[in-house]
Amino acid sequence: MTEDCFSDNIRQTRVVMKYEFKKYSRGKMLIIFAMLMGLVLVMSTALTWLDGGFDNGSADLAFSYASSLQFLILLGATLLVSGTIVSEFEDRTALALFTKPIKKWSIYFGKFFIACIVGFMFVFIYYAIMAAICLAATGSLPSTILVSMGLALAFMFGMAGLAIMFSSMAKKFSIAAILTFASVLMVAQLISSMLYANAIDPWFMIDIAGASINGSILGADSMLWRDTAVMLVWGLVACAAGYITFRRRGL
Amino acid sequence: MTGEHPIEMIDLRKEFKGFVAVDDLTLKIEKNSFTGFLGPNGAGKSTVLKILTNLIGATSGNAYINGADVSKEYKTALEGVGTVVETPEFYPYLTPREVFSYTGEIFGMNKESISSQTEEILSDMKMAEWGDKRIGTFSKGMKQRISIGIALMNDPSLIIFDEPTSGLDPRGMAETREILKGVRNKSKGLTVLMSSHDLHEVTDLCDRVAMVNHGRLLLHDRTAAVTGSNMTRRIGLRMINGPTDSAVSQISSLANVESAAVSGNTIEVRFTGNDGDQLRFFNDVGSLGLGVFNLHEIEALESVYLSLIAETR
Repeated sequence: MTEDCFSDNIRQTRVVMKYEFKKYSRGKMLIIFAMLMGLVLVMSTALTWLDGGFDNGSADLAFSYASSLQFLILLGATLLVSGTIVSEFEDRTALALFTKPIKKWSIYFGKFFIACIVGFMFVFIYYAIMAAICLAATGSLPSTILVSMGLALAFMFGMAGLAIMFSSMAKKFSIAAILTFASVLMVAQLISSMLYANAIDPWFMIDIAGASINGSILGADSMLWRDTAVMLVWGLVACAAGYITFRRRGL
Repeated sequence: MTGEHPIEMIDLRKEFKGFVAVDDLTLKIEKNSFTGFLGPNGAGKSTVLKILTNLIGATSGNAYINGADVSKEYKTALEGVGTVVETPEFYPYLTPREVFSYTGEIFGMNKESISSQTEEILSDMKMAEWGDKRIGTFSKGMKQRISIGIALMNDPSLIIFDEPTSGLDPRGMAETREILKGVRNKSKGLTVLMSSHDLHEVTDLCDRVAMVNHGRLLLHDRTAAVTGSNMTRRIGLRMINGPTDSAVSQISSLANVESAAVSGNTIEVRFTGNDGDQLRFFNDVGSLGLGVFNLHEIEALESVYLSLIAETR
């Protein structure tokens, strides 16, 4: 086997993904996040029903569900992705895995890809439930629901990139989780507000681009491609920065 | 590099913010040897092993495994290597069988090989009944057996152990040592480099010894040559009626004895000489008629180790 055997590196990436998936499927975080998602769905349904939202059109109904999604994805990235690298160091499992003949990028991207897949899976499930409720309540689906889902997937990707970057930098899972959560919920929103206050359009901020998830349902956002690109670029750049940090990180 | 030696370190150096952990170390590990890697805390042993296993990079110099430079082609270098660095943890949600499969799949082994190797290792590690239990519930000793099993998974030609019995209780240490003996006896053509603080363990298991201090090599030789060399040894004598001043005085006057002193219920003798001189000393002690019922060498390797470490303090 040669150092440059790319196909072997890809094979090892798949092996990492396979066992990372086992980690997710047996871990507590997946259950916690599933429960949170269930809670959000139940609360959205209850509040919409109390507000008489079921009598409105499918777009309004879908909007009430999509409005929670940005926060839910942020929670998902925090719970499911921010521990993925740091836990290898914190729990000392790196001593077993990193001493094997496997490229660092196979480990890193194997973990990142499966984290994205698990995150995407939740987005799909959320939209499937949302679509089922819309169909049951109004007999139709908003035409923009797939666009909104595409934006939600892009936001999930962006957040997963940020989360794995913080996971590569932090020494403890708790720090990585706080950084992931606070970076968008507080820091990004603070920066966006400051930019707004100074008459600068913060379209390039991930939180602003992420707001298009629910805006798109009502057809209120006309810059969907730009918002999608912003979220993908955030994900790619953060993921690359995380990889550089991870490569240089010793034990 | 010819790859003649499974491990070659040439002018290997590692600095941490000005602190020199490994100081231009040059060391070649003989093929098919079981080499004990000794040194006090902070001597640089773990740093060397971490460089060899690509957990950290060297500041300068080179480390080769089977002829491949670890820093430049670590995947090739670690291809035929089994490692147990410190006490690794495993994903608690996996079972030993799954961890062995994970390792086997990383090495590119096929399903049949993974399955047969897993069963053999579980049996050798006396873990067969635990094969499907999640590792999160295991004791430290059990985890260490699993980590040794993982190191054997790819049928390696070289194994690197970093203090494999460290942190284990006496039972865990004894079990791990037995497993290491089994590894040594079973695998022909295997080279092992093992760092340890336990000199008894090294004497028991290793046919070669390398000692380091302050990141520098102090000694690298056959264990038998080191323990049988003409250096100061410590010998303990126990007498039926306990140690007396008269006995200490008589023993002090024997050939090759540097000093003798009471230590608890034992007379501890500092002795300089080779194996032949030691035999003569034992005969002389017997002829004194002091009622000596127990005569034992206090870890020859320990004496050499302490004298070498003292010299480089």
